[in-house]
Amino acid sequence: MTATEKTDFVYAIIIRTTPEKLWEALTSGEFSERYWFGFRVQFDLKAGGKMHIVPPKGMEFVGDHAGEVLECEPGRKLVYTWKQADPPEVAAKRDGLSRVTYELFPMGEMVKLRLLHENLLPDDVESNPTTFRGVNNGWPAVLSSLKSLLETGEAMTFKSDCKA
Amino acid sequence: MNTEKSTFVYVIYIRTTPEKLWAKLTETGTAREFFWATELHADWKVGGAWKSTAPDGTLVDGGEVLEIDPPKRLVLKWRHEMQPEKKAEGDSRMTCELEPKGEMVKLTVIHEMDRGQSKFIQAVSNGWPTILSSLKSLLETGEALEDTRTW
Repeated sequence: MTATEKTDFVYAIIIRTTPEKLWEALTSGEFSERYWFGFRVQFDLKAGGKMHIVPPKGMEFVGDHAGEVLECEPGRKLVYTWKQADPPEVAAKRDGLSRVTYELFPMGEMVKLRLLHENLLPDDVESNPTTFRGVNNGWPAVLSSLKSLLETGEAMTFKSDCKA
Repeated sequence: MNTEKSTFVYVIYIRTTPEKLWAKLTETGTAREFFWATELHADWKVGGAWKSTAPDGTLVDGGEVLEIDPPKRLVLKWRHEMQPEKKAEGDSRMTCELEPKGEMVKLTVIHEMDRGQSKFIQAVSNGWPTILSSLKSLLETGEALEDTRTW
C-alpha cells in the first residue's frame, strides 16, 4: 500500500478594513451567511471550543463542517479542524480532519488575510474551474465575496453549485 | 530531461464586466493606479513587445505577447529585468483568463516558469495577491489599495 497523497491550499487576499472588523466577519454567523453561500459559522472562540459551519436550507446534504478550535488569538489567528461529508471511497482515504488557519496581518489601512487549508486529499481539489466546488474554487469565491462585503457593504450574489 | 516547473495560480472574483477588467489590465497608464505605480507599455498583438517601467523610468519587467483574445485571455512571455538573481532565471509565462459569472468576473492568473524552485515565481506569489486585491478594490470602490499606488 502506498501512502495517501496529501495536499494543502494557500490563499491570500488584502482587504481595506481593520483586523477587528475582519475577525468579526470571519467568526460571526450573521456575517458569514451573507458572503459564504448562506453558510453560518458558529465558533466557541477558545482552544478546544466547538466549531460549526451550518449549511443553509436546501443544502443540508453538504453537511456541517463541524470541527474544533485549535488556536484562537482574537484579531490575529484562528486555527480549526474541518469535517468534510465524504463519499465512502474518499472517506476511506481520509487521514484525520483537515485544518484551516486564518492569519490576519495589519498593513496600514489594510489587512492581509492569509488562509492555509492543510491535510487535504487530491479529491478536495477540483480540476474543473467552472464550478465553486473544491477548496481551490470555493475559498477564492468566499474570500472575494468577504472582501466585497467589507469594502462596499455588499457581498457577491453567487449561489453554490454543489449537487447532492 | 528537466521537467521541473514552478507554478503560481491565483483566482479572484470582481464585481465588474470583462471589458472593464480587460481595460484595467491592458491600458497604458492604468497600471500606475494598482501596480506599484508602474507604467505598462505594450504593442497588443501576438509577437508584440511589452514592458513595465518604474516611475523613474527603470525597466522592471518585459517580454512578448504570446496570445491575446480580448476580453478573455492574455498570455505573456515575462522576464524580470531589475534584480540580477531573478533576471538570470529567464523567461516566465503569465496567463490571465477572464470569465464572466453573473454580476462578476472570475479572474485567474497563472504565472509559471520551466524551472523548479524559481525565486521569481516565489516573489510573484506574494505580489499577485496584493496587486489583484488592489485591482478588485479599484473596480468595486473606485480606489486602489494604498500600498500599491506607490513604487
